[in-house]
Amino acid sequence: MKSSLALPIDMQKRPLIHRRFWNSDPRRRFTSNTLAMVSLCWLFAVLAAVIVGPWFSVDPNVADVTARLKPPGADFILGTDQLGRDMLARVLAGGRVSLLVAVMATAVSLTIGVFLGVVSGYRGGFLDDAITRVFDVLLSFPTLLLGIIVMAAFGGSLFTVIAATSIATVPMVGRLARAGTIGIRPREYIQGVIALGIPTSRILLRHVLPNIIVPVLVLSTGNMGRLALAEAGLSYVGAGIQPPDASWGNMIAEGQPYLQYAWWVPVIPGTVLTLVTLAFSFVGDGLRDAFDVRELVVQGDGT
Amino acid sequence: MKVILKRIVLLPVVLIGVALILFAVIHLSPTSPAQLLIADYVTPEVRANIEAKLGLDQPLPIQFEKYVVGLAQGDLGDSFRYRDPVSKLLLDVLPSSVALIASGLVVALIITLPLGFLAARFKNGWLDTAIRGFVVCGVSIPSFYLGIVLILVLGFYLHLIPISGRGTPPDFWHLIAPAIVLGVNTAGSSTRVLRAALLDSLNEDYIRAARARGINERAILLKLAGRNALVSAVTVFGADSAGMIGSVILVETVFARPGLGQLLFTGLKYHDFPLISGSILVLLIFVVAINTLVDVLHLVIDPRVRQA
Repeated sequence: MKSSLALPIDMQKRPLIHRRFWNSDPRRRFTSNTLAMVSLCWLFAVLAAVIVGPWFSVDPNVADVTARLKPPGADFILGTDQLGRDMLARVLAGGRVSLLVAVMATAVSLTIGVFLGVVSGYRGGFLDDAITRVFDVLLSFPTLLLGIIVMAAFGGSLFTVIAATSIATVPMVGRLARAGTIGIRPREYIQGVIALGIPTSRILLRHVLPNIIVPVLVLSTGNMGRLALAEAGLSYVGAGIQPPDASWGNMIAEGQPYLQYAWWVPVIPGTVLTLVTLAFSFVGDGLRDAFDVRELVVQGDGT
Repeated sequence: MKVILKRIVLLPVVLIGVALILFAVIHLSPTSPAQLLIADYVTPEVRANIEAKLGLDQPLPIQFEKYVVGLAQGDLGDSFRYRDPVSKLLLDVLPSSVALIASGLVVALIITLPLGFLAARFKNGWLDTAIRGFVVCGVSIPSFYLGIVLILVLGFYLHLIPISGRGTPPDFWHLIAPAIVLGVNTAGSSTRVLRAALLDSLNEDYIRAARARGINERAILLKLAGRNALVSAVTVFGADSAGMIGSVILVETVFARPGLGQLLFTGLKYHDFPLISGSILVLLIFVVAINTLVDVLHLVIDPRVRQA
């Protein structure tokens, strides 16, 4: 059976896809967006720093009581905290955690959310109703509360933080994937491959997925900042990464009592965190404008 | 109208569902609440005694039954840590949290309405760019970071506001900084939505018709486009309320304000199940309350909803 007949013509020329992306309008629109490009460079710089940095810096958990609360200067570039630990090393170690959570939670929520969304949008019926209901309930649940509850049961750790933020993100991704799938389900090319008797799994993977994935990816990228923020929030209230391990959130919490005498202890990790979430927002906005993706109104009904 | 009724009818069902999930999740944890209440060196007999007092020695199904029956009668149980009824503890801190949420909403409105309209009126001008910049910052700045910066600058350096805690009610001065933090965070997303909705409405045919009839631009923006745009803005605002209630816990922690957040964290620290479930249920009631408020607003703003 010549199933390739049913493929949209542009999908038969796979090898060209990279060149096509480079010559596309969205790519051009994105690269001409200065703010988004600067933010992207900054994010890559931070990423490189937190991956490579900890190999060259001192141990972020080693305390030196003779050097407590030293201001930023020649000896310690970003100063030291209340236990005399090197702030630079801790900021780098904390950044690893934040970015790891953002990346992992995005990956996990994309996998699960897209799967659930596509299947429920394609199948419809009872399954669709059930999944949509669960999404609604989860969406109306504050992410922070969700994280706190998960933490109450399993203790705060990197794993529970990733799990909690993923659970909170799955419905967002799922709704988008579902909306896209419902939009293209009645199209001729989908009806065509169904008529050809192609297995559903293949239809979903090869024909539905490529056509709905762009907005999902674009909005997920923009959401990564919010995930880093959620990690920091959870760690700040003590429901995330547990001391002595560094996270931007728990650094702020531990440093807050010393605010008056050593402002740099809570302010530096907070500033870096803010700059990272801002950069994610700018990149996300840039991508959204470039790909002309309209944000779906996320409408939890609060029940 | 039907939507609101449905919501009110569904509320107890949802709350009980959440309470059951909470019960299951928290009892998965191996830590004994009794252990956390006492020192490590006390004898096992004392510990068993305390567990018996708290009703923790009974098998889980029986604890569960007691909990559900209590819940159905509106009894949230007694806190392990404080030995007081949870409902009393919650009622004690409720005014503080309600004041924070209400003032946060007010600040958010004060910021959103003018900025949204100005940004739409001067689309792509410098003012619009500045407002859009503020919007992105408002959404991206962590509330606990903004809170700390306010404490540092307004509190320690300028001595304008108290550093933390809560004064005797009405505690206006203690409320300023937390309300600003909460309001700015909420205003970020709602301003963005209002601006986008206004621009959408301004593209509609009825606006062109109004312009053709020579109605002045201000009236068009405020009366014709504004009303239409507020409908969608209010919807998104309601959807964001879950996030706002989450921020309330954070803001209360930053400013060491007594409130639901503080109760929740105390509960978590001592594995105090009645306290945890009680405070989470009340927080969820807030989410639903704000959503219901949004529905009522919908009725007021949009005559189409009233007829349906």
